Amino acid sequence: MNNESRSRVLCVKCQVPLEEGKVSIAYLSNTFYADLLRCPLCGQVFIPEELALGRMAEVEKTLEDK
Amino acid sequence: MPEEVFLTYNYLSAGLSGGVGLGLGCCGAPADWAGRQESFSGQIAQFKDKWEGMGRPIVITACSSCYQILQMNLPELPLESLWGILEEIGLPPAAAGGEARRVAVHDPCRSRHQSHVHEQIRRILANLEVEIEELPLNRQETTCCGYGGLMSLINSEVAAEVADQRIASSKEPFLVYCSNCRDHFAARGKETWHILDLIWGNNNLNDARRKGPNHSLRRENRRHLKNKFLAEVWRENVIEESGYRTVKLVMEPPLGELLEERYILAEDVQQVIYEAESSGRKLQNLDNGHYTAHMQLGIMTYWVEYLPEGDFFRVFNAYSHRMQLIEDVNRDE
Repeated sequence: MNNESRSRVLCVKCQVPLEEGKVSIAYLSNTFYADLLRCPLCGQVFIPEELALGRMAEVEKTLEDK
Repeated sequence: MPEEVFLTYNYLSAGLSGGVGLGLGCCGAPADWAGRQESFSGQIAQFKDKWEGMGRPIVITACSSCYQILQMNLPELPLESLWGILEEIGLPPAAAGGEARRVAVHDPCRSRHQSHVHEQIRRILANLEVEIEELPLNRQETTCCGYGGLMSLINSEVAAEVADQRIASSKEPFLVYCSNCRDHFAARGKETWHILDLIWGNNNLNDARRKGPNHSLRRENRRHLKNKFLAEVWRENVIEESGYRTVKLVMEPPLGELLEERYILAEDVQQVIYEAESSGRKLQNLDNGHYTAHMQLGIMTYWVEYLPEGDFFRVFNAYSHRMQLIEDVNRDE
């Protein structure tokens, strides 16, 4: 994601644009790190719909089928 | 229909001696079908505790799945089918075949080993002068409507095909005695009465054509039914709506259908918005001004895109995932 699109999502609480950063995600005893948009101050993350229903759903299913 | 449960309970209370209680909970069948034995055992234990607490009364079930689950897991429980009890005390005056002149009886799959129930249903129909068409696969050989074993939740395409195959076995409207069978067939466009519809005079073809409630409305119906019993029968205080339940949503019908497909309840959306508005933890898309907030409920994390609109919140989208975000940084600030 480029800097321009990154700056279009605002953390309302901290009043700062989200920035790309490392976020940990856990599922079924597995922990992953992904570069996602997050608030540089409070850590609030943004998962867009296409990621939740796309890549994340695929990984969830893969882990569940293991 | 919730109203039919209310009428039936009051009718049993008037017709049976010794008082009648009501269980609006779950027998645990969905947990059993999902292979969640721990959850299932907990539900059975809870049911047993309540039954013992009430002085070990006779348990009356309308649902063949409840009957089967309780019979197998709590053999000490004296069980009766509602249909047998209604035969004993007599049908209410409202009971009539109406436009259900000839029906094809679909026995629910869980009734296979309940031959006395098969007979009870057929005798009630005969009593109402409703002509019966026996399906090629019936009674102990009956087939599933597509809901059993949570098929429709796990693989809705297969479940729809199972329903359609069953529907194709007769041109007559169906008569069922399982609410899941009724709603599953009705969702595929088959005219289907539940036997309680005929017992309470809801016997027009329009009654057979009505669609079942979606997931959110189903929960809402349960809540309303419980409140109705509390207020009108047991004269107890109805708990006032508070917290997230006060969040009023507005959304376009296609979005409602999308949430249904995604198994997202209106109350999930309400909880996300309530939490976001209470804590201020939300994001804003600077292109369209919409807020986006998320919240983990159980294993699910729900995301909702919305905007306040007067006293309401207009919802533009909602989605979910099961992976858990570890956002422990300054969470409570």
